[in-house]
Amino acid sequence: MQVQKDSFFRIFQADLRVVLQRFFENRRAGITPEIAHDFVDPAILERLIALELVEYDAEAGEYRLDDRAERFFDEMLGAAEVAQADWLVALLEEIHRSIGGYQKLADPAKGDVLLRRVCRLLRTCKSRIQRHLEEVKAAVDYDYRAGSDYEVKLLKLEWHLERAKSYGNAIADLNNLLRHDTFFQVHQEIDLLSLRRQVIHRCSQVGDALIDVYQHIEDYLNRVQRDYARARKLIRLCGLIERHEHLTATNLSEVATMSNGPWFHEFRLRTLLDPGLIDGRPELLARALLRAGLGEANGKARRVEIDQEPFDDIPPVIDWQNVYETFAKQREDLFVFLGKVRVEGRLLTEEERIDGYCAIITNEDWAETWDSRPFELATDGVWEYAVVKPPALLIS
Amino acid sequence: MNIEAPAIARQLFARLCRGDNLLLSRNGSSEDAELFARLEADEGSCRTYFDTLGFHLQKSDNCYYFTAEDEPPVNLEMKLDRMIRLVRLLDFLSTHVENFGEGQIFSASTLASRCNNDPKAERFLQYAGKGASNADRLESILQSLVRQGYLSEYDTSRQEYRILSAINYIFEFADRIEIHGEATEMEEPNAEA
Repeated sequence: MQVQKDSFFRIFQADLRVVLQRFFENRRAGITPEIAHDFVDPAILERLIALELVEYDAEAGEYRLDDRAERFFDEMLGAAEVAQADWLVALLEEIHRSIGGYQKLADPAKGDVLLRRVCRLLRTCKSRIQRHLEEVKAAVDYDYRAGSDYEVKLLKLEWHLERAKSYGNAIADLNNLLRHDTFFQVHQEIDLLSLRRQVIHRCSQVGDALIDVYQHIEDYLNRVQRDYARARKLIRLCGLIERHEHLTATNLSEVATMSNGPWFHEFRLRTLLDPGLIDGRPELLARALLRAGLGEANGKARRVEIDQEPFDDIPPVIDWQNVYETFAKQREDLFVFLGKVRVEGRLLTEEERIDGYCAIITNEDWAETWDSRPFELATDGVWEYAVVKPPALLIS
Repeated sequence: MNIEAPAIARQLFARLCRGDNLLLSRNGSSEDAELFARLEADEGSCRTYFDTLGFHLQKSDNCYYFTAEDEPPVNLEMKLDRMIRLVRLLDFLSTHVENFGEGQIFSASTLASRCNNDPKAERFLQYAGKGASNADRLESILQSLVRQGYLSEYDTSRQEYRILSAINYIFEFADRIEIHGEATEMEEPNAEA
């Protein structure tokens, strides 16, 4: 990323590019005139202001990148850039330098300036640590979702993981510095004490949150790797299928043999009513469910007695299919015939007789036979049925 | 033996045994999501109850479905045909839908435009879809997946679809397939944290 960033700033003139880069890297820290004069020549600063790349905020007393320029850099460098933790490392170095300078000083007036500087740097750390964590999370999510190139995604996520870890190390360093450095133990000014306590607290919060972030990134990495492997496998499988080599070169037939579930249409409701009826005749399904002890139990738990029957012998929910062929052979007097039929050693109940009759006449196979026979049709508002007059009844 | 019939038994049975959509996804419609949550909370008793009736409640990754123990054996040729269809479908969608996976939302019009002038995609659409044009074929495939519960219509005005958790059920089959003569790719999980 560093290479990419450096190369991006090459679009600017040589004397401007380093300065712009410094402004961009420190865009979230206040750049006071003193800081600005540390890293940029006043003449160049004037040029940047004239070019409207940098502006001076008189109220805050800070230099900052022009909004448009900053947005442009943000967009050009992408979301990955925000994940860099260089700023914290730089701030840590600066705190170390200030503490070192303070300890070498004999003049207390200059010492106060350095102390205020340490406080200011700690305040910057405090305000930016949490925000940076959010930015890392957002950048990880963005790079996981955007784009379709698995390799680029893997690369970016690995970058994020590396950077999150380096950020975690920097947080741990800051935490150690605040807890164990003699400077913070010697200086007991109320401002510094309060600030130190707050930053330590913030560091421990962010440290905990970073563990979740690592796990999140690793989870994404695993998912991308799995999806990538699957996509490559599917491409190879399709090639084998095109060449008709899938049966010899893969275990596809073995997997197919063992496979089950909805995709393979192996499973069908055990009622064995015609699927068309199940899908298109809810009232028949309701009856079937009722018989199975599944009806009218809406929202209430009930006890179902299945004593004295081994599992294998539990009667099916409803099984009309077995008698269908027998029914279908009856060319005449179907309803009368149903009255005589015995299933499982008993006559059909009136309800079963009607159900069976309706199931048969709405079956496609029967419908073909039906078309060739002119039965009179009638309806009771709910059921449509055929009026079949048996010869015997006509005689009587 | 007494078995308590779970309160959701009827609703679950009707949902998983009726029509073309025989999969219950965690991220399905609000009714499905509610039923999924209730089933997840009461999974053990539902499983026991339906086991006694000969139905096995199966759980895939964020989805449920039934299998039955006494199903008549299905023609192996048909199963192979379905498996090939599955492979081709997943290959097509993984190639043309970014981050194809549970929860993703994609636009049919974008997908259709990506298929134009792609001979492989057009071949697949001719193989799997119905209709005169590629757009019609694609539409028929997507609608079929909606009916079967793998997708849901997210925004009909913009032709957007959402991938439901049920897609994990068919991903599992793709993952089980191995290509002979190729070193098994051992993916080392990133679990150092």
